[in-house]
Amino acid sequence: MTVPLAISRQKEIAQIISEAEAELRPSVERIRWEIGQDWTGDWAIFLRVVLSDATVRRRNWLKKAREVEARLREKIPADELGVFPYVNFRSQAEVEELRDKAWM
Amino acid sequence: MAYHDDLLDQADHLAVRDPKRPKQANLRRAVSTAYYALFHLLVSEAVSYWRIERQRAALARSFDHRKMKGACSSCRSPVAELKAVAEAFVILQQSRHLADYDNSKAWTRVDAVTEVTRARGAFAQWERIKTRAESQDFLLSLFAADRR
Repeated sequence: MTVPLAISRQKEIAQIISEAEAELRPSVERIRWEIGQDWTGDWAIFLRVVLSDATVRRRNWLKKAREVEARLREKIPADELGVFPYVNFRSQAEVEELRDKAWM
Repeated sequence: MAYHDDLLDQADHLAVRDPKRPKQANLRRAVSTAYYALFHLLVSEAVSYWRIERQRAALARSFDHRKMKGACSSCRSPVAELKAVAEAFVILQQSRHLADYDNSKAWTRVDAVTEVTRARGAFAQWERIKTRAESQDFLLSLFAADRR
């Protein structure tokens, strides 16, 4: 099995995501991520974006979510890292209700 | 109304049902249906180029989800809308897999609505570019074997 460059460059990825988090506040509360394989076995970076409740209450929150995703896609050199980026969203209230560690 | 349009409307409907406490079954079906809406849109567009109309349904059945994902993952089109449609297909297929088979993942309204909106966005983008040569080549790549 070929291991993607992303595995050996996780420090760099962490830095990129940390910068993105700072840039995207206050719409984004935090971003959690991991490198793994999708259902077909292809390598991927799974990004879990927690949107602030204030953002999700706005009428145009979906537009904001699209902007956040687009920015993450711009910042993460996924092709170079050999991974496909998957981005999922939850609100802060949903995260607190579900208490799913992967999103905390 | 075409089947894929009905599926997309159904996905919308399911994603916003139960305003106070959404049911996992509805959110999962919303995500899965959003994927199938895009799947059937692309398949119907691809087979529409087949001249013998009575054979189109049989041709449509030969499309393979994994092969289509491979074609979409390797799409490097300079046409931004086409690349976005391909990316949406890959993402929705992964989400559909989780929604249908992984009961350990709980879906939330925000997550489900963003996935359904992703499919709707892909529909709109496809509408803008579907007559371009690049889009027709893309449809062929979904069907033809060996893309990697």
